[in-house]
Amino acid sequence: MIAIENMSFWYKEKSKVFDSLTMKLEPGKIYGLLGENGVGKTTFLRIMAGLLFPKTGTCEVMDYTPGKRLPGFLSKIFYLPEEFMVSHQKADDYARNVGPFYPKFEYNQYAMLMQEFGVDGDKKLHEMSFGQKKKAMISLALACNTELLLLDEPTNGLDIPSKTVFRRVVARAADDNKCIIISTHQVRDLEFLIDPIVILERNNVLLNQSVEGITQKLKFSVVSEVPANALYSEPMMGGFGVVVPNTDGEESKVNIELLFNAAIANRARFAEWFN
Amino acid sequence: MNETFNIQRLYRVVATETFAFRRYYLFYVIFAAAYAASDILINRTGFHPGVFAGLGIFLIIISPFMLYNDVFHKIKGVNYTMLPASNLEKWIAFWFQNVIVVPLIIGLLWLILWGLEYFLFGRPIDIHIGKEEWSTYLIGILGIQGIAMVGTLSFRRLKWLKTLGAIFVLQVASLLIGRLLMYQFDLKSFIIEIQAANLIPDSSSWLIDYIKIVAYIIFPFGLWLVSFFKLQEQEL
Repeated sequence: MIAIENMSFWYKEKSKVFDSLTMKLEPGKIYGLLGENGVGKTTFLRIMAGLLFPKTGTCEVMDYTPGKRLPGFLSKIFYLPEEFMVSHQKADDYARNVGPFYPKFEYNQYAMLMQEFGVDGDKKLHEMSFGQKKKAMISLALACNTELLLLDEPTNGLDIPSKTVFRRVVARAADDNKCIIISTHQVRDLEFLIDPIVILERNNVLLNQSVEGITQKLKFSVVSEVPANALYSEPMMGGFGVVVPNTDGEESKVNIELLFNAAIANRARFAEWFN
Repeated sequence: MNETFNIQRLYRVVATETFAFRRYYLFYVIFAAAYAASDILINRTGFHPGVFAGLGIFLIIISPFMLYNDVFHKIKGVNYTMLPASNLEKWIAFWFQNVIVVPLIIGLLWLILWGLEYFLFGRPIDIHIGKEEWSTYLIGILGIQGIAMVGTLSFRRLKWLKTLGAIFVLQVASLLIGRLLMYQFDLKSFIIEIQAANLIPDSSSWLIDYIKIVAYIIFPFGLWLVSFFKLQEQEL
Protein backbone atom coordinates (compact mmCIF):
# COMPACT_ATOMS: atom_id res chain seq x y z
CA MET A 1 0.00 0.00 0.00
CA ILE A 2 2.68 2.51 1.07
CA ALA A 3 6.38 2.02 0.35
CA ILE A 4 8.84 4.61 1.54
CA GLU A 5 12.45 4.15 0.48
CA ASN A 6 15.37 6.23 1.78
CA MET A 7 13.14 9.25 1.97
CA SER A 8 14.52 12.51 3.29
CA PHE A 9 12.57 15.65 3.87
CA TRP A 10 13.42 19.01 5.33
CA TYR A 11 12.05 22.51 5.53
CA LYS A 12 15.58 23.76 6.24
CA GLU A 13 18.37 21.48 5.09
CA LYS A 14 20.30 21.87 8.34
CA SER A 15 17.49 20.35 10.40
CA LYS A 16 16.09 17.38 8.55
CA VAL A 17 12.63 16.13 9.48
CA PHE A 18 13.28 12.72 7.90
CA ASP A 19 16.65 11.32 6.96
CA SER A 20 16.72 8.19 4.78
CA LEU A 21 13.44 6.93 6.14
CA THR A 22 12.45 3.47 4.92
CA MET A 23 9.21 1.75 5.87
CA LYS A 24 6.22 -0.13 4.53
CA LEU A 25 2.58 0.22 5.53
CA GLU A 26 0.07 -2.46 4.57
CA PRO A 27 -3.64 -2.47 3.78
CA GLY A 28 -6.21 -3.91 6.18
CA LYS A 29 -4.77 -2.13 9.19
CA ILE A 30 -5.41 0.89 11.35
CA TYR A 31 -2.04 2.44 12.04
CA GLY A 32 -1.55 4.64 15.08
CA LEU A 33 1.05 7.28 14.33
CA LEU A 34 2.65 8.56 17.51
CA GLY A 35 5.53 10.86 18.27
CA GLU A 36 6.64 13.82 20.29
CA ASN A 37 5.69 17.34 19.21
CA GLY A 38 7.61 18.43 16.14
CA VAL A 39 8.94 15.03 15.04
CA GLY A 40 7.04 15.30 11.77
CA LYS A 41 3.79 13.35 12.14
CA THR A 42 1.80 15.90 10.16
CA THR A 43 4.64 16.27 7.63
CA PHE A 44 4.63 12.47 7.22
CA LEU A 45 0.89 12.48 6.48
CA ARG A 46 1.21 15.45 4.12
CA ILE A 47 3.95 13.71 2.13
CA MET A 48 1.74 10.64 1.76
CA ALA A 49 -1.14 12.90 0.68
CA GLY A 50 1.04 14.57 -1.98
CA LEU A 51 0.89 17.99 -0.36
CA LEU A 52 4.65 17.93 0.30
CA PHE A 53 7.29 16.27 -1.87
CA PRO A 54 10.22 14.20 -0.55
CA LYS A 55 13.54 15.97 -1.11
CA THR A 56 15.34 12.69 -1.79
CA GLY A 57 14.27 9.05 -1.93
CA THR A 58 10.82 7.83 -2.88
CA CYS A 59 7.36 7.55 -1.42
CA GLU A 60 4.91 5.37 -3.31
CA VAL A 61 1.28 5.09 -2.30
CA MET A 62 -0.85 2.48 -4.07
CA ASP A 63 1.79 2.51 -6.86
CA TYR A 64 1.30 6.25 -7.34
CA THR A 65 3.79 9.02 -6.68
CA PRO A 66 1.68 11.24 -4.41
CA GLY A 67 3.39 14.49 -5.50
CA LYS A 68 2.04 14.07 -9.03
CA ARG A 69 -1.47 14.46 -7.60
CA LEU A 70 -3.11 12.39 -10.29
CA PRO A 71 -6.90 12.18 -10.02
CA GLY A 72 -6.76 8.39 -9.77
CA PHE A 73 -4.61 8.76 -6.66
CA LEU A 74 -6.55 11.65 -5.15
CA SER A 75 -9.83 9.77 -5.51
CA LYS A 76 -8.40 6.85 -3.48
CA ILE A 77 -7.20 8.93 -0.58
CA PHE A 78 -8.87 11.21 1.95
CA TYR A 79 -6.74 13.41 4.18
CA LEU A 80 -8.42 15.08 7.12
CA PRO A 81 -5.99 17.56 8.69
CA GLU A 82 -6.11 18.64 12.32
CA GLU A 83 -7.06 22.15 11.31
CA PHE A 84 -9.22 22.56 8.26
CA MET A 85 -11.29 25.08 6.39
CA VAL A 86 -14.92 24.38 5.78
CA SER A 87 -17.24 25.50 3.06
CA HIS A 88 -20.02 28.02 3.65
CA GLN A 89 -22.44 25.36 2.45
CA LYS A 90 -24.76 23.18 4.49
CA ALA A 91 -22.93 20.01 5.53
CA ASP A 92 -25.20 17.79 3.42
CA ASP A 93 -24.83 20.00 0.35
CA TYR A 94 -21.06 19.98 0.75
CA ALA A 95 -21.09 16.16 0.91
CA ARG A 96 -23.28 16.07 -2.21
CA ASN A 97 -20.81 18.33 -4.05
CA VAL A 98 -17.55 16.73 -2.96
CA GLY A 99 -18.71 13.10 -2.69
CA PRO A 100 -19.07 12.45 -6.44
CA PHE A 101 -15.33 13.11 -6.89
CA TYR A 102 -14.81 9.82 -5.01
CA PRO A 103 -16.02 6.75 -6.95
CA LYS A 104 -16.97 4.78 -3.81
CA PHE A 105 -18.75 7.60 -2.02
CA GLU A 106 -22.11 6.62 -0.55
CA TYR A 107 -24.43 9.37 0.50
CA ASN A 108 -26.60 7.06 2.61
CA GLN A 109 -23.55 5.96 4.55
CA TYR A 110 -22.64 9.62 5.09
CA ALA A 111 -26.15 10.42 6.31
CA MET A 112 -26.06 7.44 8.66
CA LEU A 113 -22.70 8.49 10.10
CA MET A 114 -23.93 12.06 10.60
CA GLN A 115 -26.90 10.65 12.46
CA GLU A 116 -24.67 8.43 14.56
CA PHE A 117 -22.54 11.46 15.50
CA GLY A 118 -25.67 13.50 16.14
CA VAL A 119 -24.78 16.25 13.65
CA ASP A 120 -27.48 18.15 11.79
CA GLY A 121 -26.51 18.03 8.13
CA ASP A 122 -28.94 20.83 7.36
CA LYS A 123 -26.74 23.27 9.24
CA LYS A 124 -24.09 25.37 7.51
CA LEU A 125 -20.61 24.01 8.13
CA HIS A 126 -19.02 27.35 9.07
CA GLU A 127 -21.72 27.95 11.66
CA MET A 128 -20.99 24.67 13.47
CA SER A 129 -18.77 24.31 16.52
CA PHE A 130 -15.28 22.87 15.95
CA GLY A 131 -16.36 19.47 17.27
CA GLN A 132 -19.42 19.37 15.03
CA LYS A 133 -17.38 20.39 12.01
CA LYS A 134 -14.92 17.63 12.80
CA LYS A 135 -17.68 15.05 13.10
CA ALA A 136 -19.19 16.16 9.79
CA MET A 137 -15.79 15.91 8.09
CA ILE A 138 -15.10 12.50 9.65
CA SER A 139 -18.48 11.30 8.35
CA LEU A 140 -17.62 12.56 4.87
CA ALA A 141 -14.12 11.05 5.04
CA LEU A 142 -15.47 7.62 5.98
CA ALA A 143 -18.32 7.72 3.48
CA CYS A 144 -15.87 8.39 0.63
CA ASN A 145 -14.65 4.82 1.23
CA THR A 146 -11.15 5.57 0.00
CA GLU A 147 -8.42 2.95 0.14
CA LEU A 148 -6.24 5.23 2.22
CA LEU A 149 -7.59 7.41 5.00
CA LEU A 150 -5.24 9.82 6.74
CA LEU A 151 -6.58 11.33 9.95
CA ASP A 152 -4.54 13.93 11.81
CA GLU A 153 -5.58 14.22 15.47
CA PRO A 154 -9.17 13.19 14.70
CA THR A 155 -10.32 13.03 18.31
CA ASN A 156 -9.16 16.56 19.18
CA GLY A 157 -12.25 18.59 19.88
CA LEU A 158 -14.58 15.60 20.16
CA ASP A 159 -16.62 15.15 23.33
CA ILE A 160 -16.49 11.83 25.23
CA PRO A 161 -19.56 10.19 23.60
CA SER A 162 -18.32 11.26 20.17
CA LYS A 163 -14.96 9.62 20.83
CA THR A 164 -16.81 6.37 21.47
CA VAL A 165 -18.76 6.79 18.24
CA PHE A 166 -15.51 7.60 16.43
CA ARG A 167 -13.88 4.37 17.59
CA ARG A 168 -16.97 2.40 16.57
CA VAL A 169 -17.33 3.88 13.09
CA VAL A 170 -13.62 3.66 12.28
CA ALA A 171 -13.49 0.04 13.43
CA ARG A 172 -16.51 -0.66 11.25
CA ALA A 173 -15.00 1.11 8.24
CA ALA A 174 -11.78 -0.89 8.35
CA ASP A 175 -11.53 -3.77 5.89
CA ASP A 176 -8.81 -5.78 4.16
CA ASN A 177 -8.38 -3.27 1.33
CA LYS A 178 -8.23 -0.13 3.39
CA CYS A 179 -5.37 1.42 5.25
CA ILE A 180 -6.24 3.93 7.93
CA ILE A 181 -3.48 6.03 9.48
CA ILE A 182 -4.35 8.01 12.58
CA SER A 183 -1.90 10.51 13.97
CA THR A 184 -2.66 11.26 17.59
CA HIS A 185 -1.48 12.44 20.97
CA GLN A 186 -4.68 11.19 22.57
CA VAL A 187 -3.50 7.58 22.78
CA ARG A 188 -6.07 6.62 25.40
CA ASP A 189 -8.87 7.56 22.99
CA LEU A 190 -7.65 5.02 20.48
CA GLU A 191 -6.02 2.38 22.67
CA PHE A 192 -8.15 -0.51 21.42
CA LEU A 193 -8.46 0.71 17.88
CA ILE A 194 -4.95 1.15 16.53
CA ASP A 195 -2.78 -1.77 15.50
CA PRO A 196 0.06 -1.60 14.41
CA ILE A 197 1.70 1.24 16.25
CA VAL A 198 4.21 3.54 14.57
CA ILE A 199 6.36 5.79 16.72
CA LEU A 200 8.25 8.50 14.92
CA GLU A 201 11.35 10.12 16.31
CA ARG A 202 13.34 12.97 14.85
CA ASN A 203 14.60 11.93 11.41
CA ASN A 204 13.32 8.36 11.48
CA VAL A 205 10.95 5.65 12.68
CA LEU A 206 11.56 4.34 16.16
CA LEU A 207 8.95 1.61 16.05
CA ASN A 208 6.60 0.11 13.46
CA GLN A 209 5.16 -2.99 15.01
CA SER A 210 1.88 -4.82 15.52
CA VAL A 211 0.46 -5.01 19.05
CA GLU A 212 1.16 -8.74 19.00
CA GLY A 213 4.78 -8.12 18.04
CA ILE A 214 5.12 -5.59 20.85
CA THR A 215 3.68 -7.89 23.51
CA GLN A 216 5.99 -10.68 22.42
CA LYS A 217 8.94 -8.52 23.41
CA LEU A 218 7.51 -6.31 26.13
CA LYS A 219 5.31 -6.86 29.14
CA PHE A 220 3.04 -4.20 30.61
CA SER A 221 1.80 -4.44 34.17
CA VAL A 222 0.90 -2.55 37.30
CA VAL A 223 3.07 -3.57 40.25
CA SER A 224 3.60 -2.36 43.78
CA GLU A 225 7.39 -2.18 43.40
CA VAL A 226 9.37 -1.23 40.34
CA PRO A 227 11.46 -4.20 39.15
CA ALA A 228 15.16 -3.70 38.45
CA ASN A 229 14.81 -4.55 34.73
CA ALA A 230 12.01 -2.02 34.15
CA LEU A 231 12.44 -0.09 30.92
CA TYR A 232 10.03 2.51 32.12
CA SER A 233 7.80 3.07 35.12
CA GLU A 234 5.41 5.69 36.36
CA PRO A 235 3.17 5.92 39.38
CA MET A 236 -0.48 5.19 38.75
CA MET A 237 -3.57 4.00 40.61
CA GLY A 238 -2.70 0.78 42.47
CA GLY A 239 1.09 1.07 42.23
CA PHE A 240 3.44 1.60 39.31
CA GLY A 241 2.78 1.06 35.64
CA VAL A 242 5.87 -0.68 34.29
CA VAL A 243 7.25 -1.87 31.00
CA VAL A 244 9.71 -4.74 31.23
CA PRO A 245 11.27 -7.07 28.62
CA ASN A 246 8.98 -10.06 28.10
CA THR A 247 11.27 -12.91 29.11
CA ASP A 248 8.64 -15.47 30.07
CA GLY A 249 6.45 -15.20 26.95
CA GLU A 250 3.43 -14.15 28.97
CA GLU A 251 1.01 -11.94 27.08
CA SER A 252 -0.08 -8.61 28.48
CA LYS A 253 -2.31 -5.75 27.37
CA VAL A 254 -0.41 -2.89 25.72
CA ASN A 255 -0.61 0.40 27.48
CA ILE A 256 0.24 2.76 24.62
CA GLU A 257 1.15 5.66 26.88
CA LEU A 258 3.64 3.49 28.77
CA LEU A 259 4.92 2.06 25.50
CA PHE A 260 5.48 5.50 24.08
CA ASN A 261 7.32 6.76 27.16
CA ALA A 262 9.38 3.57 27.30
CA ALA A 263 10.32 3.97 23.64
CA ILE A 264 11.37 7.58 24.12
CA ALA A 265 13.45 6.64 27.20
CA ASN A 266 15.12 3.64 25.49
CA ARG A 267 15.53 4.69 21.87
CA ALA A 268 18.58 2.58 21.15
CA ARG A 269 17.14 -0.61 22.67
CA PHE A 270 13.82 -0.16 20.88
CA ALA A 271 15.58 0.43 17.59
CA GLU A 272 17.57 -2.77 18.15
CA TRP A 273 14.52 -4.85 19.16
CA PHE A 274 11.97 -3.67 16.66
CA ASN A 275 13.89 -2.74 13.48
CA MET B 1 -9.42 6.40 -15.52
CA ASN B 2 -8.04 9.22 -17.64
CA GLU B 3 -5.44 10.84 -15.40
CA THR B 4 -5.03 14.01 -17.49
CA PHE B 5 -8.41 15.22 -18.66
CA ASN B 6 -12.02 14.27 -18.12
CA ILE B 7 -14.78 16.68 -19.09
CA GLN B 8 -17.08 15.54 -16.27
CA ARG B 9 -14.38 16.14 -13.66
CA LEU B 10 -13.62 19.53 -15.16
CA TYR B 11 -17.30 20.43 -15.01
CA ARG B 12 -17.39 19.41 -11.32
CA VAL B 13 -14.30 21.50 -10.52
CA VAL B 14 -15.74 24.54 -12.32
CA ALA B 15 -19.13 24.08 -10.61
CA THR B 16 -17.50 23.69 -7.17
CA GLU B 17 -15.33 26.78 -7.70
CA THR B 18 -18.16 28.88 -9.11
CA PHE B 19 -20.17 28.10 -6.01
CA ALA B 20 -17.21 28.95 -3.78
CA PHE B 21 -16.67 32.26 -5.62
CA ARG B 22 -20.30 33.30 -5.64
CA ARG B 23 -19.62 35.98 -3.01
CA TYR B 24 -16.95 37.60 -5.19
CA TYR B 25 -19.27 37.60 -8.18
CA LEU B 26 -22.00 39.12 -6.05
CA PHE B 27 -19.43 41.72 -4.96
CA TYR B 28 -18.91 42.75 -8.60
CA VAL B 29 -22.68 43.27 -9.00
CA ILE B 30 -22.91 45.24 -5.75
CA PHE B 31 -19.84 47.24 -6.75
CA ALA B 32 -21.44 48.17 -10.09
CA ALA B 33 -24.73 49.07 -8.38
CA ALA B 34 -22.91 51.17 -5.77
CA TYR B 35 -20.92 52.88 -8.51
CA ALA B 36 -24.07 53.70 -10.46
CA ALA B 37 -25.91 54.89 -7.35
CA SER B 38 -23.03 57.10 -6.20
CA ASP B 39 -22.68 58.59 -9.68
CA ILE B 40 -26.36 59.46 -9.77
CA LEU B 41 -26.34 60.93 -6.26
CA ILE B 42 -23.07 62.90 -6.64
CA ASN B 43 -22.85 63.88 -10.31
CA ARG B 44 -26.51 63.67 -11.31
CA THR B 45 -25.32 63.64 -14.90
CA GLY B 46 -25.09 59.96 -15.70
CA PHE B 47 -23.17 56.81 -14.89
CA HIS B 48 -19.95 57.51 -16.80
CA PRO B 49 -19.57 53.86 -17.84
CA GLY B 50 -16.14 54.72 -19.23
CA VAL B 51 -14.85 55.27 -15.70
CA PHE B 52 -16.53 52.03 -14.63
CA ALA B 53 -14.71 50.26 -17.47
CA GLY B 54 -11.40 51.41 -15.97
CA LEU B 55 -12.35 50.07 -12.55
CA GLY B 56 -13.65 46.89 -14.16
CA ILE B 57 -10.35 46.33 -15.96
CA PHE B 58 -8.58 46.72 -12.63
CA LEU B 59 -10.90 44.09 -11.11
CA ILE B 60 -10.23 41.74 -14.04
CA ILE B 61 -6.47 42.15 -13.61
CA ILE B 62 -6.51 41.45 -9.87
CA SER B 63 -9.11 38.65 -10.06
CA PRO B 64 -6.52 35.82 -9.61
CA PHE B 65 -5.42 37.40 -6.31
CA MET B 66 -9.01 37.76 -5.16
CA LEU B 67 -10.38 34.37 -6.19
CA TYR B 68 -7.37 32.13 -5.61
CA ASN B 69 -5.59 33.91 -2.77
CA ASP B 70 -5.72 30.86 -0.46
CA VAL B 71 -4.98 28.22 -3.05
CA PHE B 72 -1.66 27.21 -1.46
CA HIS B 73 -2.44 28.17 2.11
CA LYS B 74 -1.29 25.43 4.48
CA ILE B 75 -4.77 25.04 5.94
CA LYS B 76 -7.16 26.77 3.55
CA GLY B 77 -5.60 25.26 0.45
CA VAL B 78 -5.85 21.58 1.43
CA ASN B 79 -9.39 21.05 0.09
CA TYR B 80 -8.41 22.53 -3.28
CA THR B 81 -5.21 20.55 -3.67
CA MET B 82 -6.75 17.27 -2.49
CA LEU B 83 -9.76 17.57 -4.80
CA PRO B 84 -9.59 14.53 -7.11
CA ALA B 85 -8.98 16.32 -10.39
CA SER B 86 -5.86 16.59 -12.53
CA ASN B 87 -3.56 19.61 -12.47
CA LEU B 88 -4.67 20.36 -16.04
CA GLU B 89 -8.35 20.36 -15.06
CA LYS B 90 -7.64 22.58 -12.06
CA TRP B 91 -5.62 24.94 -14.23
CA ILE B 92 -8.32 25.10 -16.94
CA ALA B 93 -10.87 25.91 -14.22
CA PHE B 94 -8.49 28.58 -12.87
CA TRP B 95 -8.06 30.02 -16.38
CA PHE B 96 -11.79 29.83 -17.12
CA GLN B 97 -12.77 31.73 -13.96
CA ASN B 98 -10.20 34.50 -14.53
CA VAL B 99 -10.17 34.85 -18.29
CA ILE B 100 -13.78 34.06 -19.15
CA VAL B 101 -16.13 34.35 -16.16
CA VAL B 102 -14.80 37.50 -14.48
CA PRO B 103 -14.41 39.56 -17.71
CA LEU B 104 -17.84 38.33 -18.82
CA ILE B 105 -19.47 39.49 -15.58
CA ILE B 106 -17.65 42.85 -15.65
CA GLY B 107 -18.48 43.26 -19.35
CA LEU B 108 -22.14 42.48 -18.80
CA LEU B 109 -22.35 44.95 -15.92
CA TRP B 110 -20.67 47.57 -18.11
CA LEU B 111 -23.22 46.98 -20.88
CA ILE B 112 -26.05 47.19 -18.36
CA LEU B 113 -24.69 50.55 -17.19
CA TRP B 114 -24.58 51.77 -20.79
CA GLY B 115 -28.17 50.57 -21.25
CA LEU B 116 -29.30 52.42 -18.15
CA GLU B 117 -27.38 55.50 -19.28
CA TYR B 118 -29.29 55.38 -22.56
CA PHE B 119 -32.72 54.85 -21.02
CA LEU B 120 -32.35 57.30 -18.12
CA PHE B 121 -30.22 60.05 -19.67
CA GLY B 122 -30.75 59.46 -23.35
CA ARG B 123 -27.03 59.10 -24.09
CA PRO B 124 -26.28 56.40 -26.67
CA ILE B 125 -23.43 53.94 -26.35
CA ASP B 126 -20.27 55.87 -27.11
CA ILE B 127 -17.10 53.84 -27.33
CA HIS B 128 -14.09 55.49 -28.90
CA ILE B 129 -12.20 52.31 -29.60
CA GLY B 130 -11.64 51.01 -33.08
CA LYS B 131 -12.06 47.33 -33.96
CA GLU B 132 -8.31 46.77 -34.26
CA GLU B 133 -7.61 48.46 -30.97
CA TRP B 134 -9.98 46.05 -29.21
CA SER B 135 -7.64 43.11 -29.69
CA THR B 136 -4.67 45.17 -28.47
CA TYR B 137 -6.60 46.22 -25.38
CA LEU B 138 -7.82 42.67 -24.75
CA ILE B 139 -4.36 41.16 -25.15
CA GLY B 140 -2.95 43.94 -22.96
CA ILE B 141 -5.46 43.31 -20.16
CA LEU B 142 -5.04 39.53 -20.33
CA GLY B 143 -1.26 39.97 -20.48
CA ILE B 144 -1.19 41.98 -17.26
CA GLN B 145 -3.71 39.58 -15.72
CA GLY B 146 -1.35 36.76 -16.75
CA ILE B 147 1.31 38.28 -14.50
CA ALA B 148 -1.21 38.22 -11.65
CA MET B 149 -2.00 34.57 -12.49
CA VAL B 150 1.67 33.60 -12.28
CA GLY B 151 2.05 35.60 -9.05
CA THR B 152 -0.99 33.91 -7.50
CA LEU B 153 0.37 30.43 -8.23
CA SER B 154 4.00 31.28 -7.39
CA PHE B 155 3.77 32.88 -3.98
CA ARG B 156 2.14 31.42 -0.92
CA ARG B 157 1.68 34.64 1.08
CA LEU B 158 1.51 38.37 0.26
CA LYS B 159 0.95 37.36 -3.34
CA TRP B 160 0.21 40.78 -4.85
CA LEU B 161 2.99 42.51 -2.95
CA LYS B 162 5.55 39.90 -3.98
CA THR B 163 4.31 40.00 -7.58
CA LEU B 164 4.79 43.78 -7.68
CA GLY B 165 8.23 43.31 -6.10
CA ALA B 166 9.15 40.68 -8.70
CA ILE B 167 8.02 42.98 -11.56
CA PHE B 168 10.10 45.82 -10.10
CA VAL B 169 13.18 43.60 -9.73
CA LEU B 170 12.76 42.24 -13.28
CA GLN B 171 12.38 45.74 -14.69
CA VAL B 172 15.45 47.04 -12.90
CA ALA B 173 17.41 43.94 -13.99
CA SER B 174 16.36 44.26 -17.64
CA LEU B 175 17.16 47.97 -17.58
CA LEU B 176 20.62 47.28 -16.18
CA ILE B 177 21.27 44.44 -18.63
CA GLY B 178 20.06 46.65 -21.50
CA ARG B 179 22.37 49.47 -20.47
CA LEU B 180 25.26 47.07 -20.06
CA LEU B 181 24.68 45.62 -23.55
CA MET B 182 24.45 49.10 -25.01
CA TYR B 183 27.87 50.04 -23.63
CA GLN B 184 29.48 46.65 -24.16
CA PHE B 185 28.51 46.15 -27.79
CA ASP B 186 27.92 49.73 -28.75
CA LEU B 187 24.31 48.91 -29.68
CA LYS B 188 23.40 52.59 -29.76
CA SER B 189 25.51 53.23 -32.84
CA PHE B 190 24.23 49.95 -34.31
CA ILE B 191 20.63 51.18 -34.00
CA ILE B 192 21.61 54.57 -35.46
CA GLU B 193 23.23 52.75 -38.37
CA ILE B 194 20.08 50.71 -38.97
CA GLN B 195 17.99 53.87 -38.82
CA ALA B 196 20.38 55.58 -41.23
CA ALA B 197 20.10 52.64 -43.60
CA ASN B 198 16.33 53.19 -43.40
CA LEU B 199 15.71 49.70 -42.05
CA ILE B 200 13.44 51.15 -39.36
CA PRO B 201 11.43 53.66 -41.38
CA ASP B 202 8.71 54.37 -38.80
CA SER B 203 7.00 53.03 -35.71
CA SER B 204 4.95 50.52 -37.71
CA SER B 205 8.05 48.82 -39.09
CA TRP B 206 8.68 45.07 -39.17
CA LEU B 207 10.77 45.31 -36.00
CA ILE B 208 7.93 46.83 -34.00
CA ASP B 209 5.53 44.23 -35.43
CA TYR B 210 7.98 41.47 -34.55
CA ILE B 211 8.35 42.77 -30.98
CA LYS B 212 4.55 43.00 -30.73
CA ILE B 213 4.10 39.38 -31.83
CA VAL B 214 6.74 38.17 -29.38
CA ALA B 215 5.15 40.26 -26.60
CA TYR B 216 1.70 38.86 -27.42
CA ILE B 217 3.01 35.31 -27.28
CA ILE B 218 4.66 35.94 -23.92
CA PHE B 219 1.78 38.09 -22.62
CA PRO B 220 -0.49 36.26 -21.96
CA PHE B 221 0.15 32.81 -23.53
CA GLY B 222 3.61 32.31 -22.08
CA LEU B 223 2.45 33.46 -18.67
CA TRP B 224 -0.51 31.06 -18.78
CA LEU B 225 1.91 28.23 -19.49
CA VAL B 226 4.16 29.30 -16.61
CA SER B 227 1.14 29.46 -14.28
CA PHE B 228 0.25 25.87 -15.23
CA PHE B 229 3.72 24.64 -14.23
CA LYS B 230 3.59 26.69 -11.03
CA LEU B 231 0.30 25.01 -10.10
CA GLN B 232 1.95 21.60 -10.44
CA GLU B 233 5.00 22.31 -8.33
CA GLN B 234 3.45 24.06 -5.33
CA GLU B 235 3.69 22.39 -1.94
CA LEU B 236 1.65 23.21 1.11
